[in-house]
Parts: sequence; C-alpha cells; structure tokens
Amino acid sequence: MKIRHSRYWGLLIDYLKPQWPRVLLMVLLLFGSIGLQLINPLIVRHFIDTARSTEALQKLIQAGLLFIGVGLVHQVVSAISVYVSSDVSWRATNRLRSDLTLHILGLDISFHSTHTPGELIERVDGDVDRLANFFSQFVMEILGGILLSVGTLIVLFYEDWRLSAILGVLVTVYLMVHIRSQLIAEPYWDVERQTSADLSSFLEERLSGLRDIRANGAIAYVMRRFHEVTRRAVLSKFKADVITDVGWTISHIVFAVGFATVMGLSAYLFQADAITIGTVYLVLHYLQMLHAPLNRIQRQIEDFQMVKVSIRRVRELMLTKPKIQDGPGAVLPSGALSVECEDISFSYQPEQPILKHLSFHLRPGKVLGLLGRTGSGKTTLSRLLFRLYDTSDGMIYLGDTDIRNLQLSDLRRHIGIVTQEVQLFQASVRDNLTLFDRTIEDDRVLAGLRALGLRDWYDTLPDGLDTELPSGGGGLSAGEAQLLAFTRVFLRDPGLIILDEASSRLDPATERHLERAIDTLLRNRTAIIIAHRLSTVQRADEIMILEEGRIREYGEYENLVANRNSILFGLLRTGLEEFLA
Amino acid sequence: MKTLPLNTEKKRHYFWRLIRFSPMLYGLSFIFSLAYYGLPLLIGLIIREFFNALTGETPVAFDLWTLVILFLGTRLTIQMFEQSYAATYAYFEGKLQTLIRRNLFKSLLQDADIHSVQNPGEIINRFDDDTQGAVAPITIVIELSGHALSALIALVVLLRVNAFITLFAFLPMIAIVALTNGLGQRIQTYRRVNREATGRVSGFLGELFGAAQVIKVATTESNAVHHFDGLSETRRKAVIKENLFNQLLASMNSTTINLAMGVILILAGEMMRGGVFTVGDFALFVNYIALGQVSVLGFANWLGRLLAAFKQADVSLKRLSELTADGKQEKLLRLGPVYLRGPFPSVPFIVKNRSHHLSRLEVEELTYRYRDTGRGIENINLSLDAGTVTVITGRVGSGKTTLLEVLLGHLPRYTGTVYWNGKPIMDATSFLVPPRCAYTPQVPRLFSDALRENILLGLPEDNVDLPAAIWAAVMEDDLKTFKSGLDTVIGPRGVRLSGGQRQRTAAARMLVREPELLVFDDLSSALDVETEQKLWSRVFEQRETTANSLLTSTYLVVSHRPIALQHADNIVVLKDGKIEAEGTLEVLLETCKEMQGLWRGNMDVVGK
Repeated sequence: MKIRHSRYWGLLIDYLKPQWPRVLLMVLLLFGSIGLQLINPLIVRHFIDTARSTEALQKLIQAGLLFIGVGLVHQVVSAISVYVSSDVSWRATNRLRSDLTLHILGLDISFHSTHTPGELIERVDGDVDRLANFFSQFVMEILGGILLSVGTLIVLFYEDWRLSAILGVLVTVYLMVHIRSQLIAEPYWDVERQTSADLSSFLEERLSGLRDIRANGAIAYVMRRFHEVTRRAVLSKFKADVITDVGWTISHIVFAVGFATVMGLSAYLFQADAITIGTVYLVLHYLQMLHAPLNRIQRQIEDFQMVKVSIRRVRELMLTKPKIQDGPGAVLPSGALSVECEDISFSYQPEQPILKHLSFHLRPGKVLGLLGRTGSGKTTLSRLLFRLYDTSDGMIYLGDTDIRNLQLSDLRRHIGIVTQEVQLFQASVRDNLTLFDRTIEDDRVLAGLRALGLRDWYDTLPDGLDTELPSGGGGLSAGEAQLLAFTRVFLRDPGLIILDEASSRLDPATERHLERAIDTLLRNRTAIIIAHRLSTVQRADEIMILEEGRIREYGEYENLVANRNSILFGLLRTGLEEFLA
Repeated sequence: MKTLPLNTEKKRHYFWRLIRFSPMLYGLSFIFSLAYYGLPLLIGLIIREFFNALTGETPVAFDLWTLVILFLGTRLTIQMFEQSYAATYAYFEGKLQTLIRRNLFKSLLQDADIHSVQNPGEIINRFDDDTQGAVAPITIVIELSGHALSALIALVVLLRVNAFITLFAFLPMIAIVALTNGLGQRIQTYRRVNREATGRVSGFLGELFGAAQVIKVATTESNAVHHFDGLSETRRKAVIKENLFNQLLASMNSTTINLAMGVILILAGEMMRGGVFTVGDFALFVNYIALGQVSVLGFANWLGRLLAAFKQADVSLKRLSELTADGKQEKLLRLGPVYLRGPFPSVPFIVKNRSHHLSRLEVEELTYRYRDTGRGIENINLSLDAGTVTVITGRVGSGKTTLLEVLLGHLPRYTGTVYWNGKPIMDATSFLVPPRCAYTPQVPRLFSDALRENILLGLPEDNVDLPAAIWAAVMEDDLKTFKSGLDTVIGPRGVRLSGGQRQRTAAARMLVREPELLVFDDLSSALDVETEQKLWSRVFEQRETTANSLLTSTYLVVSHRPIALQHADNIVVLKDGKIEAEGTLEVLLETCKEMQGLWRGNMDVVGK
C-alpha cells in the first residue's frame, strides 16, 4: 500500500493542531534564529573591508563586540527553540502513542493472537519514537534550511546577482541530487524495520519462556536461533546504513563541485573589481554556513525514509479495523440475564469447525455447568458471548436481546469472566482491582475485598490500595491472584458471570475456601461455569457436555445425576472408581 | 577529569576487552577516521592560499586555478575515506552491540533470577537502547582519535601563523572542558531518570498487550490507556529535561566558538592593518575554529560527548548487569564469537549414558524466602530413589512451586543443598538439564514456531523418539486434526492451541528428552478427566513395564489430583512452606489432617 505524500502531512497536522500556540512560538523562534545567523557574516565582511581601509580602529573593535553579542543572543534563542520543539514533539507523539494503544486494544482478539506483545511494543513505542523527530525537527530543519538559503540568496543578490544565481542553482541541484540518491535506501530500511521487529518478538517470547528453555536444556538451541535472528537484524541495518551513505557521498561531491565553481566565479568578479575582498569572504562563508543546514536537510530526508516506513506501519495499524463492530445500541436490563444460543456454529479457520449447531437456553439466575474435553469448544463459546469473535452462523441472545444489537462496551459490561490465568499489572493494588477505572471508589473496592475474603491479605499491604504490585504479581499466591480476579469482576457487577476453569490450578482445599467467594460472586447472577473437573460444576443447575463442538448431553443436574444412562452419571462413576481403586 | 564514571582501572579493562574483540575492524576504522578527519585541514590551507593569491599580500606557491583544482581533488579524496570509514564503523558497532546482546541474552537464559525477568517488554527496551549506550564510547573514541590528531595539527598550524591570537582564542575552550566535566553527574542522573521512565512505558505496554483479552472483556480500554498516559507524561518531562540540558551544554560549546571569533576580530584588526595578519590567515582561523568540519573547539565538543557517553555507558551497563544473576558487568563484556558471518553454532546433542544415571536425589535443609512477602519454603528435606514417584501436594500458597523452582535453581536458594547421587549440585541450572532432568512449569510457554520445533527445541529428530513422546503426551489425536500436522505454526506463545493442547505439547517436549528425573508442576490443570487419566497412565506405563531400575525414570510431581496421589510412592504434604507430613496415601489419610482435608476436597466430587 502506497501512501500519498499528503497523508504524511495529514498525520502531522492532526497532532500539531491542538497545540498551535506552541507551534507558532516554535516557528517565530526559528525566524529569529535564522535572522541572527545571517547577520554575523555581514559583520565580518564589514570588518575585513574596514581593516583594509583607513577607517578608525575603534570601528573594528566595535565589530568584534557586536559579533559576540549577536552570537550570544543566537544561543539563547536556540536553547529556547530546542525546549519548545521537543515539548511539541513529545506532546504530539504521546498523544499518538495513546491513540495507537487504544486502537490496538480495540482490535479483534484474532489480531492479538497473531501479533506478539513484543512486536506491538515496537510498533507503539519504536515506530512512534521515530516520529518524535518528525514532529519537531523535520519541519524546523527543512523550513529553517530553506529560509536560510532564501535569506542568503537575498543578501547576495544585493552584492552581485551572478553570485546569487549560481548559489541558487547550487542549492537546488544539491538538494535534488540528494533526495534522489536517498530513495535508493528506502526499501533497505523497510527490511531493517521488519528484522528488528522480528528480533524484538523473538526476545519477548523466549524471555517469557525462560523456565521452559532452561528446564529442557534448550539454551544452546535458543542461542543458535538468537544468532540467526540477530544476524538478519544486524546485517540488514548495516546494508541500509552503507547504502544511505552512498547517497551522502554523491551529494558531498556535488557540493564540492559547486564550491569550487563559486570560488572561481568570485575570484573572477573580484579581479574584475565587481566585488570587494570582504564580499568574496562573505560568499564563501555563507556557502560553508549553508552546508550545515543543507546537511541537516539531508539528514532529515534520510530520517524521513525511516519515518515514512514508521508512518506507514502506524497507518497500517490505524487502518486495521476490528471486524467486530458496535451494534445500534439496544439496552440491557440490569440484574441476572438470560442466555440463549440458537443454532450457532463457529470456526477459527475455514473447514475446521469448532462449534456446530449449538442451541440452548439458560434462564436468568441459573448456573450452567459446561463440561467437555480440551478443544471441545468450551472456551470458544465464552468468547462468542463476549463477541470477541462473531458466530459464523446462528444467533446469541442475552437478556432476550440479540448481542449484535448491543454496543460492545454495554455487552461486555454486563458479562464478567474469570479465567485460569490472572493477568496482573505493575501498578497499584487499586489499579489492579479496578483495572484502572478511576470512577470506582475506594469504599467499594474495600467492600469487594471484604466480600470475597481478601481482607486479611489487604491488611498485610504496606500502603493499602496504593501498594505497588511488582510486575507478574511476584509473591502473590495463585489463590490470592484468583481472588483478586474475582474481586475485579465483582466490582463491575455484571448480570452474567463466566468462570472458565477459574480454579483448575488450585488445590481442592483452597478451592473449597474459594467456594464462599464464588457464592458471593454468583448471588443473583446468571453463571456459566466451564470446567473439566466434576467438582467444579457441583453448584450447577444445568449441565451441558460438549464433544467436538456439539452438545453431547444437556439437562438439569439433578435429572442427569439420577439417570444411570447419562454421561454425567458415567463420569461421576469413573471418578468414584478412581478413588476406590 | 576527576569525576570519571568508571574508575580508571575498570575503564581500561572495559576498553581493552572490547578493542581486543575485533582488532582488525578497530584498526581499520581508526585509520579511516584519521584520514577522514585529518585531510580537511588541507582545505583550510587551500582557502588561505586562495585569499592570499587574490589580495596579493604575500607570495603564493600556486595560481588561483590550481588552487581550485586542488580543492576539488582533496574533497573527493576525503569522500572516498568517508565511505570506507562509515562502512567499517557501522559494521564494527553492530558487531560490538551483538556481543553485548549475546552475552546478556545468554546470561539471562543461563542464570538470571526468574523474578528479574518478569517483564520482557522492559528488558527488550534495555536490549535495544542500553546495549547501544554500552558500546557508544568505543566507537566515539575512534571518532575522537581522528578529531584529536587533526585538532593537534590544526593547533600547531595556527600557532605558527599567529601564536598570540591562537592563545587568546583558545582560552574559552579550557573553560568548557571543565564545565562539561563538572556537569557530568547530572548528565548521568537525567539519563537514568529518562531510561527508567521509558522502561516503565514499554513495560506497561507489554503487560497491556499481553493481557489484551482481559482489558477487552472488562471494557476498560480507555481507563488503561489513561494510566498509560500518566506514564507517558512522566517520560515526556524526563526527556525534555535531558534534551534541554544537553542543548545547554551544546550552546556552551557554540558560545565558546563565538567568543573565540569575537576575540580574533578584536585582536586581528590592528594586525591586519599592519599587514602581519592577512585576509587569508583570517579565513584559515575561521575555517579551523568555527566553520570547517575540523575545529579545535570541536574537539572539546567531542571530548564532552565522550565523557557524556562514558557516563551514559556506565548507566547502561549498570542497567544491563542488574539483569544478570550476580549483577556484575564481567559477564556482559566476555568475548566470544557473534556469528555475523559463516556457519551458526551447532547445537550439541548429549547422548544419555551411565554417568547421567540418577540413583538418588537428596534435598537437605532447603530454605527460600521471597523478598517482598517473606513467604517461601523452610527447611525442606527430601529424598528420591531411582524409579520412584514423589508427589508434592498442599494448598495453594503452601510453597509447592517455589520448592521446585528453588530445587531446580530458577530461584536463588538461600540455604540448603541438593545432592545428586550423594554429590552436592553446585550449579543447579546447568546441571539439572536433560538428559539428567527436565521440567514442565505450571504455565508452560510455547513459541511462535512449528509444533515440531516447539517439542524438539533443537534436538535432532533422528536421535529421539518423537512419535513415542507425542503418544505419551496424548497428542496423537490433536495432531490428526491439524492440517499441517507437526509443521503447524502455533502462533505467538502458542495461542492457536487450546490450553490443554499447550500443556500436552509441553509434556511431549519434556518426555522426548527421556530424562532421568522428570519434574512437573501441575501438568494436568487444563485437561479433562479422560485425557488426564490417559496422560498419567501413559507417562507411568513405562515405569510399570520395566523392571530394570536403570531404565526407569524418577518423578517429582506437584499435583493434588487423585490419580497422581494414588500412583505416588511417596507423598510430601506442604503447609506454609514446611513439610507437614510425608508417606504413602494410605498412611497419610490416616495420620495427616492436612492430607485428609485435601483429599476430602477431591472426594466432594463424588459426595454430591
């Protein structure tokens, strides 16, 4: 996908507009700085011509002092300018990071299952970092370079139009050649970005699996893979660097030829008495002075190649739209919700159906125990209820409303889920419980902790709710983590709760300890308890057993237990036999 | 230069090592740097001659047009060297960075405390930026050498043209060197604050994207981003502070150049009138001091950059070495191949032999406490005979997983010893690996490769019994449903598999290694009853059919599942980090209250 140039500016304008006063200040400082830069060589020219004349010596000393004064003011202006421009760029890119993060979180879960956190970090932080430069430096340098060139041409025009003309031609040719020669490097930077992202996601995954690697004696193997991935990243960067440098060499040669030409021309003009020796000095000084900003323009253009790649990646991400969209916004009643599935089918990949023609109806306030082997589609069903995926076929009703008619936020607000894995953040206990929702008051959080039996744990925290949990939750036991997850859901007060193997990692004793918490959690709510252990679904009013995406058995718990031919009965007996063996 | 960040001894050491790492590349970059920075001095001299030829004040050796040609020739030569220099430099820098990355990664894999690797996002950040920071001084030294030499020559030339003006113009330089050095401490502080703020930002992003589903189903996306904004804002402030500070330092450099120029103007006026100082001389001074690529004050600038780079490198190395087990920089700077060229390192396959055989594993007085909570395990004594099954059980939080991780060396143990056949194990992480021992953690991690790769992890397929491991792990039916079978790519962290499939893949990964000692932590938590029974019976099958104890494996298992408890030769009941009781299921059910409690939990299934 090729993005037109206007798109780059579009991104620039979107993020600079809100802080236009600062941008204006940035531009004013730029004008001031350029003006001051043009004055000093004029002072020197004046100095040389005066020194070679017979005017008073006093004037030479004045020129020296003036030179120092102008220089000092220029430095002050530059420092303020750097401050303002980095402020502008960081405000802008922080907003972009924020928008991107929100956008990524809004993308379908299928997107997240194909992109590692490491890769996404690289997108949000790495790519946007490159843009930080773009936001402030790019415009400043390009505009500054152009202003300085134009200013120089105007000053020289008053000296001799021929000098001005040749300088103008030189600057134009120089920039054109450079932009051309830089385009060669663009595809190489594309490759560089990709290989560097590959390295990041490689590292992220391997570091997450440190235990697994060690314990399986796979260090040598992982190191070899590391070298493979690293070699690609290092060499692609090297290649891009060298090719970029070829562009530089070409431009430098063009500049050198131009400088030699100006030397010749000004020598000719001096000998023809058209200009003074001071002016010869001025021309060469300006030319050398222009070299730096023109180089910076070069550098900006060079960076722009990388920035373009980054912008493209950012835009690609922004243009990735979630397939799952908000419904028109029907309203759900509060309190326990009924759940109804009507002939639903679903597959992640075509021709590999996970759920096949599933129908059931769960009345409000009832508890459904969902049993089945791993891979039978239990978790998938819960994902469908949340609309993390949409069904391929069939309808799901929540509180008698088609879930596709609901706004996603409204739908998800009414459902709570606790899974086996509890994700904890390096943030305060409060943020971990409320998931950063500041509208939940501390009193409610504390009440929740008490209701779910975490009060004792809370009392051990040094700073109460402000206590920072280390990343990964360190030191928190699995049971406590699970209770934390229960509290999270409890605080959101949903009408339907899904427990997806919530306690499968807990020992029976702790599990029993949790029973009370689960009682509290499920009170006056509809619930679906997904499990592969029978003990977990004892509290169910209804049982559904899934096998290969179909309902094998569905009915009231009591009826099934009483029926010697039911699968549930069989399963219970298997368990029994196991204990009696 | 009294406040150098690394002490001199350490610095020399650091330097010497990294230079010795690739002397050829270093030498080449060095030579190219000298040429690239030295040759522009000729340009200043040519310009001087050019002006002198124009004004005719002093006799000149070349006519105007020869000078123009000379100018062009010199420029082309400089460019040639620039190209060679840039290429060598880039490769050298890449190679150095790879060395440090390799050392860091290897050290993380081998012996980092598991808890310091909780947040990979933050570590990746260090991988990128801090490794770059750590090698920066080495490459800057190359540039600095070129600058130093050219500055020295420039100084001699200027002194010979006019010693008086030169000396006065150079006074400000001394001031700037002193100032930059005095401010060094602050550079380091700003740098650290900035890096920490940046680490928080990327760390949080990693956690956030890792928990995308939790955030989505809780519809708390915007709240989480709001929290993220707070971290970003802290970083913005840190970055701007650092930028502004660096800019002020740079401004000071420019100001000294400006002052030097002013001094020249004030002093040269009278001399120019007297003809002692020509316009050409003036142009030479300006060229060397302010305008040219080479300037004496530029050297001061570079020296400042080097000092700053050293300080930043120190911060970076500290941040990197924090991640290693002993916190020392030693390991990070260890030299070794980086494989940017040629064949990749081979992965050794260790054939199991008698020396790997386990006859007895003993654990003596093992104690570990978590730093933040003070919980852990205390005074654990265990003994495992060859061919036995030992099950560790207990409530959540009783220290089961901690015990395994301390035993295996993933957590640094406080006190105690583990004996393998009566000999103490010195370095558990490198000793307790296949074919001696393999381990499947509670939440096994898989990688975004093919299923085959995930199970083998580098084992040569011909030397192992992959189908047997897959069968023992009850994966054979799942495999049939995958279109590409073992070549199925399973997505980041294995997300394309179900929880149970992930667990069984991890089991296969362990079983294919046929270790003497198999350690698994709650292997069956995501499995249904039927699959679980199959798994356990297949895993234990070989044990029951083989009489020869040399061929059987020994099992150390954390579980509270009845089937595991029933298979156990010995059950260890943990409570609050201590061994509450030990024995067979029968005995424990009679004597141990804790065991009865745990067992009743299981029995409740049947009770209802």
